Amino acid sequence: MEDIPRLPTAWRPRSTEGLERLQSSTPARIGVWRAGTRPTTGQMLKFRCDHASAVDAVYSEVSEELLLELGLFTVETQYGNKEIYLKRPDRGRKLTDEAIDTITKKCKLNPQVQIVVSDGLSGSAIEANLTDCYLSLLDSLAVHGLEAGTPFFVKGGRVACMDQIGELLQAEVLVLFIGERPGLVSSSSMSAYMCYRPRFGTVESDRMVISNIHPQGTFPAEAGAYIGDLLHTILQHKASGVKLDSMRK
Amino acid sequence: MILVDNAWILSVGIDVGTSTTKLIVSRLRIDQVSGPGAIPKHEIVGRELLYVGPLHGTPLLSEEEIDGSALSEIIREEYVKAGIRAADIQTGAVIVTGETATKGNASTIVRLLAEQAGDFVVATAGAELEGILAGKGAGADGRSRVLKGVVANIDVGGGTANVAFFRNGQWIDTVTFHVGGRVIRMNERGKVLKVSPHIVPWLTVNGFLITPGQILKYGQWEEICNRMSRDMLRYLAGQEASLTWHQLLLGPALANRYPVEEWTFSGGVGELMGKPLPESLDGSSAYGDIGPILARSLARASESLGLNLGLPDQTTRATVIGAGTQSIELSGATVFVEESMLPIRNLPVLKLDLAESGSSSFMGMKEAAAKLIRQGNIWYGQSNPDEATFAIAIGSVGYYSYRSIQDLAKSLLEAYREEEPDNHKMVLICEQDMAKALGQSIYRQSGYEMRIVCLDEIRARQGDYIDIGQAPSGTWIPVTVKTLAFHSAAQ
Repeated sequence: MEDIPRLPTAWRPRSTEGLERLQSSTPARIGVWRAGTRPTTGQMLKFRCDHASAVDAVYSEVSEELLLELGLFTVETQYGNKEIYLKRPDRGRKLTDEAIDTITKKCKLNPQVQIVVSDGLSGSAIEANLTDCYLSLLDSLAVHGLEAGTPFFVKGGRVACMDQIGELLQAEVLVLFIGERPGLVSSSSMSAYMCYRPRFGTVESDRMVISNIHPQGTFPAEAGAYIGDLLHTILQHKASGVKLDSMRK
Repeated sequence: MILVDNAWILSVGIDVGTSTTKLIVSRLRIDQVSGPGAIPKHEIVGRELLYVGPLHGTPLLSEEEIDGSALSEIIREEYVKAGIRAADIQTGAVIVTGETATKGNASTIVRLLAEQAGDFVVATAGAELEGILAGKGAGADGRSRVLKGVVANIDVGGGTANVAFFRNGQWIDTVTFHVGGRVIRMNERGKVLKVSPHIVPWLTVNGFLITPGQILKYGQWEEICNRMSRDMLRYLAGQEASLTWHQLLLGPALANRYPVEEWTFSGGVGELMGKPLPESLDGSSAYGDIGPILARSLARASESLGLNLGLPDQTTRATVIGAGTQSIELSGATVFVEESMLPIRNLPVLKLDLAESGSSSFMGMKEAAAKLIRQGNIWYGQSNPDEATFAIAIGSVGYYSYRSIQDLAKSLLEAYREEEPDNHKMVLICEQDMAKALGQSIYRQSGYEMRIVCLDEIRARQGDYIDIGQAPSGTWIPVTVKTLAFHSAAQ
């Protein structure tokens, strides 16, 4: 759908420039005017359109082509199907027996850096942003002289699936690229969660995140380069999250 | 707003003007302003004046030379009074302004002063920068953000009036005139003591044929000042200009005309505009020049032109406060920096305009970069073959992919290898947040041979000069972008 102009023609604000400046400071729907007591037709349609693409994103799948191109094999969590996945976050944290098997067979043990990708709540986020971010991260790892293990894709994953993977592979540091919960601003925003030696019982404060990776937020290529730096810092200090922050002060 | 590591840094400002020299010491607070989960971003979030020195007459050896040792002594004494040592100063600027900037030894003196003032203090000059710093010191940038319109500050000092236009807190244009208190010096009897050569053409075409020794009545002095004020202000206000206004112009005219919401006057003459002054020669002779009469003329002309005057934050010290508190900015936090190359001083900037014809393709970009490097070598030479003699500024390109960053990196690297095969040092200044990705790509593609300083979120233009400081905490890097210094004096 074409973009609706943010400023309806019927509205004459006292300062168009001032309003535009406010609008450019946030992607939120401000200054959209109204028709009587209701939103304008254009705004209403835009809202419904954005809502629909958010719903679509939750059900979107990461394409085989992308996974093939980046050389990622696929394993699944115990999510079952999308309906269960949405209702039972705990299932998205547990790998299937088959997944455990595949990972142990295919992956290098004790990697310095383990890269994992998951669709999470938005397959389209991975589709849109993974390639640029991932390739840039690989460059950054090379510059820092860090070695990555065998990367793979987890279907139906939640953030804390990092813990089980960490236990299995004994990764020194793990980075998980995962699709964020879609919103009305962007339905394809990706996050990168990082953790030093993730394991069962890892507390949330040990994880750190770079979120909002998408073309209207942090650009994937620059984010990937920065994530490499962060992983380097985590390895230097042997800590991540709040622990790392307090060590750096 | 999340404030994580905050730091205070000490900054000095020194303004060597046409008639007075001023010094201030301030401290700047730097904080992380980005939220959790975002790439870190640091900004200067607070500015505090710690010491404001008195006005000193600018010491001159002759009409053509600044007295360097007397100036150096002024700074030494001021530092003692302020209770600081040069070693404590982490940033700041020495600026030589007005007519003083045209003195033969201005560039040498100001550089020596900067070294004396502290390791990271920069030397700057140039009427354009002077106007911008004065406008910021007067608070015009902040007012333009609040007012949602253009705010112009006119800093009228001894030798020049420096005008800067701001919109949304950013400067958009500058212009400078030979209008100031000291352009004609006089005594309390109305006797002409000295006429600045810069003002003679304007006086002549206006039929004011005055020579030193001549005695003018109050009304005649007023007539000169009225005409001068009207010529400048009518032009600035976009009203039908006189036929002679351009004789007052120093440097280029305005690029555009702007609807100005509010005007502020700063500088020594701006200060006098706010004071009740007796309308007589006696009452106007306190400074031995036309300053007080000019101030009254400017006020009157502003009123008759219907200019909406605002109150400046600072008047006499607008420029020095601007120099001390507004001359540095911080690079984005995700950069690619070979620390052994820092600090870098006075590096000229060449602008690579990627939006220009056909330069989105790899060959187009490489050709554009090679052309730029050849130009840089002609302009700035290469005394040491393994040294960056200029920085390349890369403008905004909108969204970029990993592929396009690789192409840009490759084109820059190949252009450098063809044009400067012995050079392994590169300084890049990106407008957009892309420095880490670009820097690491060039480094990797060069087989880890290139030494690179690649910064971002800094806007620099062709002909600017930049200073890049060391990162005190490793997370942000102070940068000063200076508009062309010493056009005339250096060449």
